[in-house]
Amino acid sequence: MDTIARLLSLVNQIAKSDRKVTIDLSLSPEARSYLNRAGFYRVLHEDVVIIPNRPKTNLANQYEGNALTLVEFRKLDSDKRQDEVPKLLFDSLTNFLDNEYEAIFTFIAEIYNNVYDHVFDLKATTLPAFAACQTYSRSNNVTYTQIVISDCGQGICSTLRPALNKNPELKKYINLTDIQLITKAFSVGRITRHDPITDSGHGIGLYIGAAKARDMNANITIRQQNFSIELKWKDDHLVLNQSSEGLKSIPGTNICFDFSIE
Amino acid sequence: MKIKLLDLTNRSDAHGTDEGKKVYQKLLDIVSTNFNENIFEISLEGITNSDASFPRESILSIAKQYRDESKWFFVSGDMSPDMWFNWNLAAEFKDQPIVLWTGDQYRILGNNPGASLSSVIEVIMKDSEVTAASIAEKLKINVPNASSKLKKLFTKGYISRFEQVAESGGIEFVYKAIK
Repeated sequence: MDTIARLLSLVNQIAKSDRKVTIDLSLSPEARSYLNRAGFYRVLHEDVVIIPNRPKTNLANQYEGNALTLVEFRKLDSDKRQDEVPKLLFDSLTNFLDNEYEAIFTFIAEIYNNVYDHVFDLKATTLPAFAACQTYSRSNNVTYTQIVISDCGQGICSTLRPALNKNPELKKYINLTDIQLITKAFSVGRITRHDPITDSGHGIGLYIGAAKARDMNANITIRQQNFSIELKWKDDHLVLNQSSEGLKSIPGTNICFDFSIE
Repeated sequence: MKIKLLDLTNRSDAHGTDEGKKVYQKLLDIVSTNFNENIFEISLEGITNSDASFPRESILSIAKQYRDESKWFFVSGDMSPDMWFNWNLAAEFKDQPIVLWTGDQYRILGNNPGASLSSVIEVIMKDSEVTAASIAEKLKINVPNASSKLKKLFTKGYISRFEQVAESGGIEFVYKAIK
């Protein structure tokens, strides 16, 4: 699901820049069918060409909410909030998971609201964001779940860095690399573009997302324009588990919450 | 005055900065049109989920704004552990405590006032209202010390305060639990 989200983000942005994009699925009919069921085509930019063609019947629309293990890709429009989405995603997941996993709701709600507060409200892009979930059952009785929320904004660091010069409390973070800064934003909180005097209490969304990852023993993968990092909890500390730099450019933020339940 | 949060959100899941700001505006209207009221109860009945951004922008914001203007807010009802964690963290980040009453049990959301002040809070929550003299007697401390602790709790937003005529004829402060 994470990979599909990254692909979607990439091709939508290329298509938006008036370049031609073609995805050839002619040798992968199963993938073409799965993408249809997962709602890929309804979030895909209309100018992207699919070979052999886009399916005539949209299975995601037809069967939406019927699958226990899949929450179809849902478009988040830049000009209209859809505040019912976090609960819809959460309710869909609790069809499969026990509803004691309420931390999932908070994670989805905080990241969803970050997209509107820090991307759409700042007019960073008009391209829609999107969210989806998928659970995978394995033979060892372990269920893996991925929740992904993706936007085409300026990225977390571009939003946060201007505040580091303005807010005296944040000056200590100026020399951090982008990877270090994002890790800090998740692990210590209070790193925010908002003025701490006139608009106090911000810098909580990513921090609380990390706290929920601890509750769920989840990993958080964050893909930014040219790098990707994975954060995980170890000995009660949120640590940078791995990172990949120098990646192909995909502007925006793709956050994946990944956990397993026996 | 009791306000049902669900009537302001129209959804059982209350989340996000945007919705928080809308609810803040509604609360502001209610406070402005009920200027004789000092205590506002926010009932959580029907609210099933909430994040941290929503209370920061709504209830905590208005509580912080009005705590110097003799208007106090508390929350009543049940909170799931997840919602409790979120609201507690928001209260810490906002530096605005708020009391949650579940029946006759209370919990304070936000920064821990510390052991010395917590013992004063316990007395106030039990007795509902106190003066510096009554706290001094109960906790066996001197009156200036009791007065200083009460003032700190009031200034930080943990308790409310009213003026009354003392037996001596002067004005004394009565400190009350927010409920």
